[in-house]
Amino acid sequence: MKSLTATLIKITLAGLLLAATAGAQDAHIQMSQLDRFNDMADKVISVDVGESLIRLAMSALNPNRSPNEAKIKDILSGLKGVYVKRFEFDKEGAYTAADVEYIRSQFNGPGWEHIANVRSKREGSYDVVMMYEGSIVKGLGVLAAEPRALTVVNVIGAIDLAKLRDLEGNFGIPKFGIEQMPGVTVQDNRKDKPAQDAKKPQDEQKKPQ
Amino acid sequence: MSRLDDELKVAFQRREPSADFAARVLARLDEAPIALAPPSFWQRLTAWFAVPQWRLATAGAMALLLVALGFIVLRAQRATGVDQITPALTAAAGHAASRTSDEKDGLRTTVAPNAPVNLTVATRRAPAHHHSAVVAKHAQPSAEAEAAKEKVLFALQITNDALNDVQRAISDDHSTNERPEPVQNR
Repeated sequence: MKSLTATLIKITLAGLLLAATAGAQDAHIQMSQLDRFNDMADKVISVDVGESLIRLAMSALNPNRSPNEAKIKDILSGLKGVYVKRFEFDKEGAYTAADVEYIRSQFNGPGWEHIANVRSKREGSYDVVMMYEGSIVKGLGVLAAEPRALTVVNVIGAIDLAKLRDLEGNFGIPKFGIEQMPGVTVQDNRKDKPAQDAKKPQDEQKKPQ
Repeated sequence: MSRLDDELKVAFQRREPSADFAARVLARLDEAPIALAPPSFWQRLTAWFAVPQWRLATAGAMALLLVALGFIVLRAQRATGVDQITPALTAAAGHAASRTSDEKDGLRTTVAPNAPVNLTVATRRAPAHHHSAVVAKHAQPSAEAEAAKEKVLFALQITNDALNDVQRAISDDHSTNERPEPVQNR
């Protein structure tokens, strides 16, 4: 009888856990393997915005102040996380096909639907995927593998791309001072490069890239 | 003593039962049992709880369920967070919070006419200083909220830029495919 009680308690716990996690398909993309480029890349932009930070940001938005803030608040209301990693390199071939495949294989995971696939020898490859639950968007993934840059964007939650495009140019982010944002890592390794590059003859510097 | 003997003889006197006694007993045994009334719902319920182990298991399951429900409610409350600050609280503490030349003053002022009615409700719920501290924090966005807002907008801007790059790549790809074949010189 004691074992019966213990079994019942275990079944109840399992049922509660199952109920809590039911339908929670994960739209999170793992990007940890790309951290090895933090020291290699000329410029690294890393942004991690979780749900709590989004809610905090929404508290600073006043829909009555401007239509843009109302639109932004509308967009943020459905979001649960925005994760961005962008690496800019000084030369081509800094990252390998395996690095791209590491992200692309996750885009081929269950629940993701390919929205756009572009393969260009000149401009690189681009992949856009979205995760749906019925008619509700649950996540967005963007992979831009350019010759000298690698960008991965992962948005978790319901995002309206049309509304996002409407806000283009109206995000109100100053071009300077981004590095001072808490939680945003903008690492410019070009500043750390030796001064020898600056002493090169001007002819070499003017060569087309 | 003879009387005692007689009484003992009578007591120990063996008397044979009637001839059909055994048959009658067996016949009675073979009869259908008397149908008892089915137990009522209450009797069945109490009987189920009468087993101590089931009682404990049920109590444990109910406790776990209550804990889970409380956890879910707490999470929902935390998710809504500052957006749930009512105009009543804003108006109630508007007098205590320091006024600034910020344009948000206009927002607070419009809510002020409701202050007399809602002040009573606000003070009944919690001490006034608590309300003033809470609303002073949320009436004007904190530095952390502003920083969070800029960070989120920056992330969205990069997202938008990435999508623009994809769109441009698609457009370039279409224009390349649609390019007419060069006319051969004759």
